[in-house]
Amino acid sequence: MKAVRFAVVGGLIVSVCILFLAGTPPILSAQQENHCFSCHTNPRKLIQITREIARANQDKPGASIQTEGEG
Amino acid sequence: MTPLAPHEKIFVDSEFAEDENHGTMGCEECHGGDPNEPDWQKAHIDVVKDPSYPDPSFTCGLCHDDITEHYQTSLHYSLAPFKKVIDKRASDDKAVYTAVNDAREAHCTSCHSSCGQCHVSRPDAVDGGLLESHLFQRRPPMQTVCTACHGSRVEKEYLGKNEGIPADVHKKKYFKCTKCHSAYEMHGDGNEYANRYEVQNAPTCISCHEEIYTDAAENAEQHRQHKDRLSCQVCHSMPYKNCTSCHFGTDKQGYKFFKTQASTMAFKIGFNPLQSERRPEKFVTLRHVPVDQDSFKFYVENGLSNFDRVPTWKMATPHNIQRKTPQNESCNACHGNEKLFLREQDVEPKYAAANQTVVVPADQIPGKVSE
Repeated sequence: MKAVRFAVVGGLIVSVCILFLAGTPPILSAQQENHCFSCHTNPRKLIQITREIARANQDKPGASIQTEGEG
Repeated sequence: MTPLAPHEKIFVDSEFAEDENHGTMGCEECHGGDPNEPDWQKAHIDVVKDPSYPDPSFTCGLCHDDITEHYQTSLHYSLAPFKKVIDKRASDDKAVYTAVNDAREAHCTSCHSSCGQCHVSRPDAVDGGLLESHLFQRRPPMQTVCTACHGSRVEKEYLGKNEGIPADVHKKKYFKCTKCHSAYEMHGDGNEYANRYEVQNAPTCISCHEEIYTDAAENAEQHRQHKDRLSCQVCHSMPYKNCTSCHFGTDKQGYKFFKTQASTMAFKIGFNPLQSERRPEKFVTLRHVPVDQDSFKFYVENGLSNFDRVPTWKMATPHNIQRKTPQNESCNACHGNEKLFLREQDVEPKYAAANQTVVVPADQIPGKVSE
């Protein structure tokens, strides 16, 4: 009887572990302290950084003003 | 195409982490950089913006090797016909040819595509920016990918943006580009084609309109009479855009530029410059393409000294198809109608020699018939 109870409890623990761990790796892989992900999913940070970049490049036109006509 | 704000171009939807195929990888596995570095500038050292170009073998190809196997022969990647045509026109002098080839690579070949620039972001040639915030798109969206590059001609024709000319009949049936242009065509099949009309997986009208030459078809007799003599577009295309000349170089700040002359709308039937078993028609629609003897002048004098080897009026398949067009209203709307054909007087004198093989002499224009 003890052995049966031990097996049932053990089985339950294993099932719960499988249930929770199986679903998490994809989410974890990107949501861990990964600065790429945390920054690129944060619009406020991106606006701040892209404004910084724009200020640094304000004297550069980005593309030639000599282009004329359709490509 | 709606432009994206700078931050929108690089914003990633957190839902991407739930993509069971691509979200399981760390960003750095494809893009490099340092995900543990909190300073964004240091974190971006050695970052690769488009990890699928020029070689997707170690990114997309790790899973999609059946597709990337032939990526080098995809015309969207290789732009091989550009090189072939420019090589034909280029000078035989080695030094001059090298200058032409370098300029071609710097300018003409910069408009390539890649796995990423169709399925993840807008193409670099139109300033990039993520599509749907990095959520991979199985079918590239028409107006932010396909017509982002094919905008001057195909987009305006297909969507009816040229004044007075309606949208293509297929657009009215809600067809997107991918309805006709399959992934097999886009991804390359291992063969190196000289031009897009040779591509085996390219769409043909007959693959949908398979009954057109049978008795079941409307106007079966007309279709049978003209089979293999005219391309479908000769009867079913509306006037389309023609561009002239193209000169390019780099400005004082080092930015690349190009200049083309004003585009003109026209419809011209000429001799088929690419007659083959696959394209046996005698007459096809021709479009003037933006090229000139002096296109490479910024880099080298007389770069295209063999300019006349290739016509500047090129075979075209305009994307503005209609069932009824001015030229198919009646037999004599086309037969004997000189204005529809590319005549000597339609060609600029400096391009005359190049177009000798496609210009239609008066005695070759199909004569009027009794209706």
